[in-house]
Amino acid sequence: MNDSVRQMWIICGTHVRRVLVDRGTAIWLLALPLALIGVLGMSLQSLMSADFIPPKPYRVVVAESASGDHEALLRPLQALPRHLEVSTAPTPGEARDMVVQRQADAAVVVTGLVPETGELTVSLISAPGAVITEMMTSILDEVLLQIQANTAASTRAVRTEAHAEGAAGDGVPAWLQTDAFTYYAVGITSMFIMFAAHAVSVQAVRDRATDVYARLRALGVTPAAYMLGGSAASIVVSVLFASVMAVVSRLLFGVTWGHALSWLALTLTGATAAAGLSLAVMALFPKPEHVDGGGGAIFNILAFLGGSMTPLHVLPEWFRTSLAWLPNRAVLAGYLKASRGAEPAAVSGELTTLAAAAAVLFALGWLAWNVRGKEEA
Amino acid sequence: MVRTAVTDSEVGAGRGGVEPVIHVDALRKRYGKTTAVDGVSFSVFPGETFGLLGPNGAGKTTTMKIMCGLVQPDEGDVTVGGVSVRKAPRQVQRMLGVVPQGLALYEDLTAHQNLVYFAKLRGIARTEIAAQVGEILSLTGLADDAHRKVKGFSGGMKRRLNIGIGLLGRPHVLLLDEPTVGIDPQSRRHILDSVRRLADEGVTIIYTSHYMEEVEYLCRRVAIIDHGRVIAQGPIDEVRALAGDSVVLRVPLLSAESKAIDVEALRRAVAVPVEARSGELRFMLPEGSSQVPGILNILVSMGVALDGMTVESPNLESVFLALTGKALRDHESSGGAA
Repeated sequence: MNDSVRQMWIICGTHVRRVLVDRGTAIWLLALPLALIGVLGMSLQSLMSADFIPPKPYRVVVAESASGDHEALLRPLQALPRHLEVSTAPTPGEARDMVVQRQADAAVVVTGLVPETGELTVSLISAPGAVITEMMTSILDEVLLQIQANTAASTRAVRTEAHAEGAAGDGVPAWLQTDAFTYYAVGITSMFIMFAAHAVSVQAVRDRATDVYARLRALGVTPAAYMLGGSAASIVVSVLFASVMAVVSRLLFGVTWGHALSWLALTLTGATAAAGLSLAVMALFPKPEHVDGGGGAIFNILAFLGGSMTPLHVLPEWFRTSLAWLPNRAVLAGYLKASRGAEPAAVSGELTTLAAAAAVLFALGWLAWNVRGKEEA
Repeated sequence: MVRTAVTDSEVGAGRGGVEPVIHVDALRKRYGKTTAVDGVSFSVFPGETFGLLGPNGAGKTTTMKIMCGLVQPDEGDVTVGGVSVRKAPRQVQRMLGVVPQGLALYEDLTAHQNLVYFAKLRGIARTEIAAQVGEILSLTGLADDAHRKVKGFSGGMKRRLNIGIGLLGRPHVLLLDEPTVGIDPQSRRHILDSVRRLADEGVTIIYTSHYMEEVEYLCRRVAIIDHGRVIAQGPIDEVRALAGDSVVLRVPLLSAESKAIDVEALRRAVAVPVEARSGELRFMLPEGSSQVPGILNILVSMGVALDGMTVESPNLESVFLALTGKALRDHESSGGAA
């Protein structure tokens, strides 16, 4: 083993040890996420359950365009009286107005079979991000699949304006596939993987502020060995954290993490991306207090945008799709899939996103660190 | 212009033609428009304790960083044992023990864990680590506290550990950058005695400080540095002679007066450098003892109760005053210098 690799592992081991013996960090990395999972899981359990019944039925108005036939749609909707109060409107325009004027929570406009395209189109009009939107999206997807199955092979039943991610391939609406405890165990873990990685980075920045880094350099430790040692420690701490969370959340809240190989692959790539992100943050902020505060702020924003705090399915679709590249979002999406039994191949998209994010973030962090090092020298 | 009391070659000749172990040759380093080091040159011989004296910001730390390969000089070079730090920094680093000015240790680890960590990074063999760590704990007086976390240590204990880490690998050359900053007199004494003991064992030491007493206690030769330049160097006695008639007048203050005295107003009144430190006023008198009566009159007129005084013969502080016209601690933020 050459000098640099040996030094890298010594540095990695010491950083990990320092995080593990620090009671404050240990409490912060375990007690807080578990408390969040417990509180959020219990609060939103009914909302995210298959047994969810709204306090009062949502008002849905159905209208058909000139050539539309809404009868095929009305029947299944009327079969859910505890969830929906269904009425009809003479025209699509009036149905839309009822939603705008808050006389209805959602409108469904049925366009008849279009000869040129062979499509039966259903449009959903409702407020983006509202629970009713997600609920109707899922219901309509299921209903349209039934309609399509009962009509000519050339006919395609499609829905417009609102789309649900991974809609109902197995006949079960996506929003009902994950219970609140699982969702928040996944969400909070993907959020705190970043904080776990960052706990090490804060130590590394303190090294620069306290002359430890200067001493290490004077001992012949190269910047690359130091950085890689720190990043390896970030990854180790993150993986340890995710492992503990998986076991404890399983024991406390009955969370199922699903396919073990998928979980492992996602955890490793997610931890690597988080280490890269933390490295970039560390390289950008010169002072430990700024790294601590700045990193915390950035990770909280990322956690929100990535769906750790607010469930993805209540966020507007444009919001969900445009931020799918965020590393913590990719971890969350991948974990959700894995929890439903997805094999590694099924989470390859998330793994690719995470690998790419890790490469970019490490490159940026390394560049910034070196630029700063040269300025200081 | 550098005031050199005795040249390096003369010192070398006096040591039987021994080659210097460290040779600093015309170092220059700029940071943007600021020149941190401007043509610094000196040599240090085997077994010698060499003092690098100057106020904060004079360029001492930058010179030290260049010497141990942490900063690349714009011009000039440093050789240690004949090896150029520019060409082979790693080889030079293996010969050096470095004690940075800041506390370069982990407070959340124990003293023992710190020493073992840095020993491993230094590449000391596993079989040798325990012996060296034990020696250092003993030398620094920390053996009884070896397994306590450093964050529970006093400032002096942390400083001693900081030095101890620099001794790992039994280096032949030790660079000590302001190792006694911010500690109590007892710990300072312990550190100075430890440094002397190392010197007695044949370790070559470069000791930077802005405390002239420490340099006078430890070193036979010294370089005084200011604004990145060496303004005087040579054996201490001969450098001291460069001060001419300068003396230092020390006037003890009653504790109540220490708090009330307006040093800035006093400086304007006496028109010589003055500082309030450790419960006393220190006046740097470039024209010698003849200035003492005038200063005392001014103090009496300002209502300062006199309770004795001391006039010190020329020392390195007065050399600095004579050469630069300002007190050695002019740049010190906490010393109350004026």
